[in-house]
Amino acid sequence: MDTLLEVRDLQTHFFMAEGVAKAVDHTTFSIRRGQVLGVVGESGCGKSVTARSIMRMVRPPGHTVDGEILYSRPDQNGQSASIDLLQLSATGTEMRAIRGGEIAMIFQEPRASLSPVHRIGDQITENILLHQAVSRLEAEEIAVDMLRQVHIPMAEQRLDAFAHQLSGGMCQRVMIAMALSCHPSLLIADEPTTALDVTTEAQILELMQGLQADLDMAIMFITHDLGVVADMADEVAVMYLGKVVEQGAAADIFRDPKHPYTIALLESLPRLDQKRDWLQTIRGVVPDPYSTLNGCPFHTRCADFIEGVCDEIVPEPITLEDNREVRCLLYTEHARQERPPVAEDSSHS
Amino acid sequence: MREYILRRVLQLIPTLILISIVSFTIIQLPPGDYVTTYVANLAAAGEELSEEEIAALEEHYGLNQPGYVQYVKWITNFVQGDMGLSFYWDRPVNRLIGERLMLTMIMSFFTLLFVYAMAIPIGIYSAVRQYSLADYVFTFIGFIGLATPNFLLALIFMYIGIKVFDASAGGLFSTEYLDADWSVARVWDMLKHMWLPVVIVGTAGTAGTIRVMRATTLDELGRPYVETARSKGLREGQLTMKYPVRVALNPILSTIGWRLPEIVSGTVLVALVLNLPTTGPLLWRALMSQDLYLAASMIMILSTLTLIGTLISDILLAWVDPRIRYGERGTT
Repeated sequence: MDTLLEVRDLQTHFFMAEGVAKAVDHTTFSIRRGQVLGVVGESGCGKSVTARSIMRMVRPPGHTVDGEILYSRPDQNGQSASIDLLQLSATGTEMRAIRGGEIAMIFQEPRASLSPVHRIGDQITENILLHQAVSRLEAEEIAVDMLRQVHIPMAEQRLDAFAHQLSGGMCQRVMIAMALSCHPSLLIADEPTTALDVTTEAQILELMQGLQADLDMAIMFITHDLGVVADMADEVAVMYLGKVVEQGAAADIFRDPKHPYTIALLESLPRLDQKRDWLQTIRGVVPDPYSTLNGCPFHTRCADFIEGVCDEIVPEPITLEDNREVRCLLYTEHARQERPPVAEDSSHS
Repeated sequence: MREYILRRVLQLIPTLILISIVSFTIIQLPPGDYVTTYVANLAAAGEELSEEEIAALEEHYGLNQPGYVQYVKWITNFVQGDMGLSFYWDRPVNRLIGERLMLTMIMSFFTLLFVYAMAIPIGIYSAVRQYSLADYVFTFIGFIGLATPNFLLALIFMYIGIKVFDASAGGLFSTEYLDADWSVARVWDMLKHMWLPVVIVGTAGTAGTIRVMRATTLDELGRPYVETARSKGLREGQLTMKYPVRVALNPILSTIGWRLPEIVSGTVLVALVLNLPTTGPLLWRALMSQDLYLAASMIMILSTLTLIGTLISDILLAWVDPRIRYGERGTT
């Protein structure tokens, strides 16, 4: 299937007084056209910074220092051509045309993401006028049409509303309408339902699934909620400490996780079909972002830690069967020299 | 909106009545009155007044009557536009205040203009380029402006004015226009004199406003809606002006009201140093000599200005900020 966006060795660092925080550190993953990629990981693992790096919206003291973000789109002849977004000027015309036009984004706090002093209509038409050659009146028609598509009742009247007059769920619908108003090929959704109650969350997720199918766009769905990912995603990328440690088809990952972090993450989920007195947790804590760890970033907490291997060698992504990419030394020669691979006999099921 | 303004205007009335009573009472609180001060001054000059003469003076000024009678007389005349007689100047308060009040308001207007014209762009720049060299320079100048007393600044400027530009930095008019009738030439002369006090009085205000503008803009720059605007592909300058700056202007607008009386009364020292024919020095002298009606009338005018200023601020704020405009029904 053809790849829409390929992120290679992305490195976004924050240069702070305390040191350099490597928020995104050699992240590699890809998004296929028209598919939903769920990006999961705990707070601070670099999910949001990755998203902002793609949008070229990282603010100082953060800087994307290295890597490639290959975005492919049809050129004049209809041939697929790929450009490296990192080669474009972040504030230049070309990047600004892509931002909001071809790659759009919605955020965690829908109400705060809308301007408190501008009307909903202004904010949506602004986006349309920036990227499409239409008149203000036509832009308003598109805006109304978009508001209808996200199931906002009385769409015409809503154009004159302000964010504080709408509920959180309504605001997220407006954000979605705004983001999709220029038919982007990729929507980056940064925890779009985290701030919403579960009922609203379900409605928003359903809406997004519907629109994704209708508009044939790809979604990069960032969340820390594995349940949401299981519901939404075709593919899953699991992030830990600035790196994607595992990527593969959602069904495969949930059925048969390969990376010890993914395994631990799935085991820590409370399950309805099992009676447990204790909630399984991952031992240890996430290392402080300024520390420089040798070897695999997860080795301090890993259940399958191999001394002398995991704390010395930095794992590279390797491809296993069914297109699974895993960044773990257990699946390499290094581990076999020490002991037989654990993945096959692991007792996580 | 109209109903809101009407209600706010009606609310002014009881407030003003209360202020008039309080200000009248406070002026009378210090022991003695204008006559005692007057007698004491004469005594200091070696002149004695007899008991009868003092009684006659008190009779003349109406100071032998009980306080509330004086108040009622004064306030009744005040609302009819007659602010009574100044003891010290022995002239009607109306005539004393008239031109000074107008000059003060013109000066205040230009000062406000100066403050905003300087402070808002600098504040925005300082916020957007936080910790840049220019930000540090502006911050440094700003703190000097804040920390230097205005009267000292006035003295320094006067010195520079005389030494360097050979211009007398004092007063608002050249000698030949001092008592002339209003004409284009006189207005021009006034404007030529006015820029200096405007800069001096405005400096502290500018410094303070830069800090406010910088802080609020910085606050707003980090808000999610700014990121949304950026994610649309807006140009950086465009989105800064349209979103965070627009919101950051609210606190500036809402404090216009406080500035009106502040500029009228807060410039007493500068006005004294620069010998400006504004209301500041007049109020100062009236309070010093317990010039009852003059002081009370001026305080009344200042209070009225404060209230009107606050009202204007509130209306402006409701006008620019939909959250306030639409929230109003719920709160009252």
